[in-house]
Amino acid sequence: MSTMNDISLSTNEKNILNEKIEKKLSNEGYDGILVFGSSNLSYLSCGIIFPYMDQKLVQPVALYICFKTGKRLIACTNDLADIPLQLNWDGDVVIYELNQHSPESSIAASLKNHVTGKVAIDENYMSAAQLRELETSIDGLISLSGDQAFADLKMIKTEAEIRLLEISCRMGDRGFVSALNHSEGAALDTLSYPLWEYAERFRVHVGEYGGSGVGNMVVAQGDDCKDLYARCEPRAVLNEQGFVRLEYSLHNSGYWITGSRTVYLGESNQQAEIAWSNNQTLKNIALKKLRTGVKANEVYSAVLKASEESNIPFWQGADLGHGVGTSERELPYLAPYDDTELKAGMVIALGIYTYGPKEELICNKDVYLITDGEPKLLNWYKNWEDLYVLYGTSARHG
Amino acid sequence: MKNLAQEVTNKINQIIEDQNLDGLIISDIYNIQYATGVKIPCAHAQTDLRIFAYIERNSAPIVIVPKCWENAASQYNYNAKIISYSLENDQTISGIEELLKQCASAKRLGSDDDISPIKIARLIRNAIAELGAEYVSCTDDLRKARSTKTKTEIKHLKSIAMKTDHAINGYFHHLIADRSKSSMSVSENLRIHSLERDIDLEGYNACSRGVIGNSISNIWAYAPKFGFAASDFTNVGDPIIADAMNNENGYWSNSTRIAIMSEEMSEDQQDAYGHLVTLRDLLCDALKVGRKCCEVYKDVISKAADLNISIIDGHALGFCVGASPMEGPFLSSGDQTILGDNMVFVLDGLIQHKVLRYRSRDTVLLAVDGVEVINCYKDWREPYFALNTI
Repeated sequence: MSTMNDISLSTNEKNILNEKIEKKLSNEGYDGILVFGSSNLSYLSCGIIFPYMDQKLVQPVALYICFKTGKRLIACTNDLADIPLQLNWDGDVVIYELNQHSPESSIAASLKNHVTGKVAIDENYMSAAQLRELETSIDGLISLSGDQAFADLKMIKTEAEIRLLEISCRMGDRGFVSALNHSEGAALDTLSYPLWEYAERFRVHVGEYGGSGVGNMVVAQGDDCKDLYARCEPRAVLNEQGFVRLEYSLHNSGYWITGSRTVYLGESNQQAEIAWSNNQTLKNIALKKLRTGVKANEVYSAVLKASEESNIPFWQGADLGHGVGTSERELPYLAPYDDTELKAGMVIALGIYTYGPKEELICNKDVYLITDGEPKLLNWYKNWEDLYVLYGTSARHG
Repeated sequence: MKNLAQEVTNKINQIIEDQNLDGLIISDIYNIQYATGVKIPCAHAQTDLRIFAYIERNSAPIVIVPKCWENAASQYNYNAKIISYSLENDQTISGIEELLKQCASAKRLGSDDDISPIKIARLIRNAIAELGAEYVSCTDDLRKARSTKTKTEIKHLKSIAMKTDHAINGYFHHLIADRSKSSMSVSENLRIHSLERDIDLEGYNACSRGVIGNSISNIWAYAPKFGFAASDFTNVGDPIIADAMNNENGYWSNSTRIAIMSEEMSEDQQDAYGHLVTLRDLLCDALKVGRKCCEVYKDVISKAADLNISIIDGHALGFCVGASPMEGPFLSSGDQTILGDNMVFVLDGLIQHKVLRYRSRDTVLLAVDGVEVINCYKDWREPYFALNTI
């Protein structure tokens, strides 16, 4: 199990990923890349991760790589400048200050004498204002959308990327098991157990088991469980017998997974067990379709057909799964609108929302690697096929 | 309609009126939350799923969301009408098509697409052109509206700023100098002490982190485990820099405070902390309604240099906080924004002392008669001192 401790890319693994990236993008005619999105920056730099970029908690960061000259550059503000060094970045760091009328114009000015040629940009992330400022600042900038090329690259993982995602899965399951272990001692106790603490126990333990960050964190019980997300009232406690669901995402060294785990609070009953079993039935239908050569929307269609034939309804508001990688949600999408063909090397989070006896949404999401044979389960840490019952009392477990 | 909704709605209506718009299209998620109250916790991380808002003069906002977020959007909003698009077709295109239906009769449309991704901005502008309507950029109007807070926004910002300072202090209370703490434990406990004070459970954005000892030489230490930190332990006398960003009622705090694992500071720490206090005083004196942000920056930089305060070269001295944890205007050399009444700034005090970087963030409300520090659970003229032992 020692490989489960190799939580970041080795130099050799970075080189392999970098070669793959350069080869494809050079072949497609780009001289280089200039990206601003956190997912693209992590991926194309092969492991440089900045904090809270998408939330705009920090000023813009740019990654520029020129395939022709070998120039590799990150532009950021001073407070972030030590991060590339901490993460063994092998290129330059250009520090910019907010000396222009906006952050976008300031970073564009700092790139003025560095960026040349025909660059692939991330139109899915870079703002229109940012592009305008770059065009103003950099003479002769030729920018083309690199989004499709980036997406194609990201969909098929290298062995090392798969390992990082597998580690993320293990961290997530260990975090979730820990949240259960802490809460089940007091879940039905008169002292009660706050909902926020259930979620927070998950977050804390992901960190303790080596995770790099937690993203989504939503906990729902009772009527709230009928919705995908619900606001967690600050003083709400685990007190409603029935299904409790935790939605989460987390990352290990920039490799994200999403999860959804449902448990039953209190002693379960036959209806709950049947509901759970039904969920597994549809999930197994989807699993049988996770094969190379099958289109993503055919997985959805197979589940829809099985749902109708077996009279097991499922919530059709969400897809059945999606790719994961340097963002928590990426191609392919197991949804009617996506006809991407599944290929070996894709990593997909799969979870179907079916209904409990009170119309609660129940889901048990797992992450799979598409192979030339059967899909390989990456969330292997604990088997969740049986309904997990959260039950216990004590004066107070820590 | 509740106070906050009414106040914000009035400001949005003012933009529509000033720009003589038939309607305003909003695509930035923080602007959408500001204008409509709709907040989806993972919207910034699941970018293939897009939200749009459309607001006509004196009408309830329309918010267009993917089907999977319909109920979440319905739970919290300012009387908005929620319309969802299904899974049948490409999600972004479906959202845009729904938006087009809503503004089909408009002749003059405002939009904040400038700060949205290029792909989204292009789709919106093409849609407006397809309708034969006139396009008006309203990015700056929304930025300006958000930068000056309403009465209820100030109430919320004061509440969460003070709670966060209370939470930091509440955790510091547990520090005993001769009982070592790991940076991971500090980070965890900062969050827990915040949640114990009724802040909202937040995933991505809520940052709590403790950086200890010599690790404070890096501002974002412990990469990439920024919010979890590491397994380094405090020694007696070490500094702890505690960051906490919390949310309540949709509004953010963004605070940083220092504790010392001792009942007294070393000479170096005393010098460094003294510089931070002086820097805060300089900033509070310089912030005046009617001045430009860049003037404040240059004024403070100049005075700090006279006093041998080693500010990090080029580091902005502050930013605003509101519906997002960091927003403009910025106290930087390039920001020409004129300071106004009811702006709420986070003063980003950061100084270099030898190899270490000391940071403290105060939140202030700017008024005509001066500034009010609104995150002062205790007076931070001195850091928090841990008991040596018990």
